[in-house]
Amino acid sequence: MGSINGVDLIQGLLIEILSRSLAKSICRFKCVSKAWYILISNKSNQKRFPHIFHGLLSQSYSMRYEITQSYVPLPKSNINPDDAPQFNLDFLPFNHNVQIIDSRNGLILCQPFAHKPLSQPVSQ
Amino acid sequence: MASPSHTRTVTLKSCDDVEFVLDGSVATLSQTLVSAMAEDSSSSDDGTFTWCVSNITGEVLAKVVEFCNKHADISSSRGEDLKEWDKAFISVELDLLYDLILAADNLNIESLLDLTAQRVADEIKGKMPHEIRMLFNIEKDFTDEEEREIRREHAWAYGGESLKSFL
Repeated sequence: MGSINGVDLIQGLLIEILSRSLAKSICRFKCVSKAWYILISNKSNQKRFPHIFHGLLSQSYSMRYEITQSYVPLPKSNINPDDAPQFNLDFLPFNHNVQIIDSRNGLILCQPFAHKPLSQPVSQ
Repeated sequence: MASPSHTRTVTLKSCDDVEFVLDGSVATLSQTLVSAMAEDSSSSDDGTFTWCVSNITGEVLAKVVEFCNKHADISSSRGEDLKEWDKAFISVELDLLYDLILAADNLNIESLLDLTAQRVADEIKGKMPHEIRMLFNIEKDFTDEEEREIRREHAWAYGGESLKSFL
């Protein structure tokens, strides 16, 4: 007997399952049914899910060749501004002028500005 | 005064009247049983406690008891060995898996809930909405237009599959 289905699946169990799923999958599952859409869109449930794309890192250069990075939340994201990730690269040994070269899957590749690139992905 | 839960013997009775006898120390994996035993003032002096699980069959309960016995046995349940054992234990058909997750929830056994929920999560990983509907027997209640709109909002989550699976 398939005792779990869209109607009688206990919500709490579905949250347990989704909290162990990938953010990408969870986003896709919004289309499954209205009940799933409501459950996945619920803000308090979202706290238990893997983080979904909420914002961008922006990098800017000043006239004096100083580089600063900042986090830009998307207008549609459900993150409370106070909960938004604080972004800084101060923990790096060369923390004065760091340039982001590339990023993929949550990793960023940095180099000290005006030096040769270091293959040092960081995740924070 | 009831005896401490770990020194008592617990009899679990399934909805189809199959009985399982557990050591109290094994039963303490289930928070539901721990609470029930704590509240039970009518306990017999011989230290036995009987609990009927109205919505779990004997077949499913046998698996739950097997899991609890293994996980309560500290001498044999260490690290990698236990992980391997869990992996083999949870390699079951989906119907049984669903019954196990419901049983884990009903009896409030955290480690079993974790194992079963993770297995279902692995099962649905990478699947498309229509495959999830089929798997869980869910009726589609969005119109095509509504579904298309939600997909548009989350196009990144569909990658190259977006059009292919929808057409």
